[in-house]
Amino acid sequence: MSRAKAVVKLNGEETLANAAGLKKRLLSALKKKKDVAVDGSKVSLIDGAALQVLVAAKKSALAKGQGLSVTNPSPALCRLLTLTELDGIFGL
Amino acid sequence: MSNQLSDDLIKIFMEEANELVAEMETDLVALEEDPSESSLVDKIFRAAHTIKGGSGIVGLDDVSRFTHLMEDLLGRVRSHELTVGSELVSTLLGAVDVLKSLLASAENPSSGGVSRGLEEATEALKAFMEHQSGPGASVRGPKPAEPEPDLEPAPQAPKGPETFEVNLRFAPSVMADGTDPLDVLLELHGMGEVEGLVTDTSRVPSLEELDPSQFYISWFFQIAVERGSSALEEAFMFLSEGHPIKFESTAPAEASAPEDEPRKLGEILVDEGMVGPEEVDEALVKQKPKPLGELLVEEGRISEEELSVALDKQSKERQGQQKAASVRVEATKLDQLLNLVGEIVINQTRIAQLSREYFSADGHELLNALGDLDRITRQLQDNVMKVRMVPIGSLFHRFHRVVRDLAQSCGRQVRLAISGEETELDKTMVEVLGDPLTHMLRNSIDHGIEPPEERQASGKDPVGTISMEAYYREGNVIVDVRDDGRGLDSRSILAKARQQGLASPNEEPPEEQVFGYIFEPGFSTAQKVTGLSGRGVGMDVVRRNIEDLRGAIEVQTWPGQGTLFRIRLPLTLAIIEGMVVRLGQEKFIIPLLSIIESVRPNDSNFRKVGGEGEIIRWRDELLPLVRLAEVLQMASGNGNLMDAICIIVEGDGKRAALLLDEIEGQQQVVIKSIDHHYRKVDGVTGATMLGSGEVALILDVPGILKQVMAKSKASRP
Repeated sequence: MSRAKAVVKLNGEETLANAAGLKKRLLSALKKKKDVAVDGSKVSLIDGAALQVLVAAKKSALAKGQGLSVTNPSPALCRLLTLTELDGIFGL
Repeated sequence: MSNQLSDDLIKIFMEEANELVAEMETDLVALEEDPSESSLVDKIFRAAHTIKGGSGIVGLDDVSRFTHLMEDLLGRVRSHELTVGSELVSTLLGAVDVLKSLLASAENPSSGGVSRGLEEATEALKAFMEHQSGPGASVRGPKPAEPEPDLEPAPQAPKGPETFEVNLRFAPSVMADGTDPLDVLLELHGMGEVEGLVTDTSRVPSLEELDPSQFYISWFFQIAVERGSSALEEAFMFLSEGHPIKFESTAPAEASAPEDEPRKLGEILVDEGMVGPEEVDEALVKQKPKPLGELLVEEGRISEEELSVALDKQSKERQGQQKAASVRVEATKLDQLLNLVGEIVINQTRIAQLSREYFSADGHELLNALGDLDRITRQLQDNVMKVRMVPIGSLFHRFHRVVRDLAQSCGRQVRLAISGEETELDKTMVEVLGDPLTHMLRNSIDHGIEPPEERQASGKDPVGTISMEAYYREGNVIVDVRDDGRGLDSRSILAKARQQGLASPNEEPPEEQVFGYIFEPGFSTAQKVTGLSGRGVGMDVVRRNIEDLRGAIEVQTWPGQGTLFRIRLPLTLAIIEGMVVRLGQEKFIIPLLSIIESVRPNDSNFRKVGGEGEIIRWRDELLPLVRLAEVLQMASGNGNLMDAICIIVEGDGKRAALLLDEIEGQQQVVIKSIDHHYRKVDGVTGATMLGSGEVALILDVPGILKQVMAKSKASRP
């Protein structure tokens, strides 16, 4: 597997309203057979639905032997992942 | 919000709210009997809270404000600032009444403006809360003269942090109403110190399979909160029901999980003796990222098989818990379904008839298949009918309140004993039975049960008992209402009957007949109109209501010991066993329940009397002969009386012989109302379709007899 990563950039607001879109973007990134980097630098609001999409993506990536990590998390995202103790699985 | 949507929402809210209000009422009365039952307080509180939330969503602000007050008051009871007493229960029952009328006027805005009593009830609730002593105040409320003030502050519940284990797990559809599960977690997080949080993502599917609108993440953690469990519960209040959220105190005294909760995997493993509790605890510490079972297997403490056995048990226990779940269905939808099934039954019979005609010799297979279809259709019909059946308990429990109020207002002490609540009968019947049963209770309390002193003087328990019992017997549902009061007084009933011209002055009718007078219109022995009974709405209405349901009521009494009213009802309203009879070209159905037997008129049993009347001797009775053709104003096909046939029928205790042309056979018929499409026809209860596709009218035997008797009375000089 190449070192280069497929990057998915999270929006400022990732919620139920655009969770389907996030799922699509992550799916197509996973199809590239590369590790996926989820850029969380812009996130100011994220809800349970979006968090779950990330978790599901991580599961799919693991199943396919690909990596998936969160990079540059914004303070909001960082706080949330720490609070839910999910920071570990996203490589933070 | 579109109008349609908001209408639908209001409808759903109303249904739910009315149910909750009824429950509140029952629970309040039960609470009065057992003030220590804190689970009832919790339940009533939750009901108020749910109504508050729902009314807010549908925009019924006054309901929302009012229930908020109730909730506040109940909250203080929950936190032991107030104790339960009959004054508190009365105030809350009063509030429930106001709530009912608020809901009723919201449901039907044209029925009238502001609900009566709203202001008083609001004041009463507020007064209750103001009276309770504030922190530091050690005196009772401002009514020291009262012998037993309700407002005595309860012993202070111990304060300080309390640790709870919370299993925050949602129904997958949680986000549908805009709830963000993460918000719930964050809110809890803000309420106290959270420790040991584990995010369980094991149920989240892979990204490919994930439906982003469903939620599968759950959390497990310990939280220390200041106020006790109610604070946590309140945090979950705004979630609609159906989320398997659990929280329990870790304090040993309060760590009693309800018994019906499914056991945790660790508990099952320990209970089954597969591992010791220490091993589970050890594994729990390490569990964080992995399910407990896997971890124990990994460490070689249990085998894969043992794990799967235990997991299987766990899932069964979980399923068991979900069994009680039900779906709310509109009654009209069920009616439509039942109607359609009725059509299937009719058509099925029709096809069977036709095929017997066409394939008389070599159609065995077809006939067999039709036989199967017949069996299946009837099963389907039975099942659909069962959907309409509801337990009578919901109706019975309503009467706790009725009995309490009535007993209080007539100075009686009455206990209501209920049994057979699980007995099921048609939903419509349960609805219609409410009024007659209420009236019967009124009668029993007002006329039957004696005042406490009188009871004591005659060596009885000063507290009277009224029992309501429901059970099945011989294809009927029986509802017994029994009191241990003074019993019916046949002499005063007879005197009253004579006064009203129901019995002639020198007539001495048998007791049975005397007791029958109480079901006559306008009959009341009450000396004064008490607001309870004697308002002219009497037992005749009770009897009519019950007869409308094709049921019957009878009374038995034991002087000084009590009275029993027995109501007998058919299991269902929609289908009857009927006799198909022919009159001229028309076919009719006579309900089998009304038929005694059939006889052929001949020279020896038939007589003409007084020029007009005709009678027939049947056994030792002389019965009026009713020419059905005349009653129904149609031309009879049969001129010769001796070729016709008589069916002896009974209704309302009266008997007669119906003269018609031919009996065709017995059949189950589905009753279809014709009132909606045509108009109410005297002597006819409805119509049905026969197997041949013909329409037949179903005869109303009591109605026909009444009509005939009235006519013969009128024609008498």
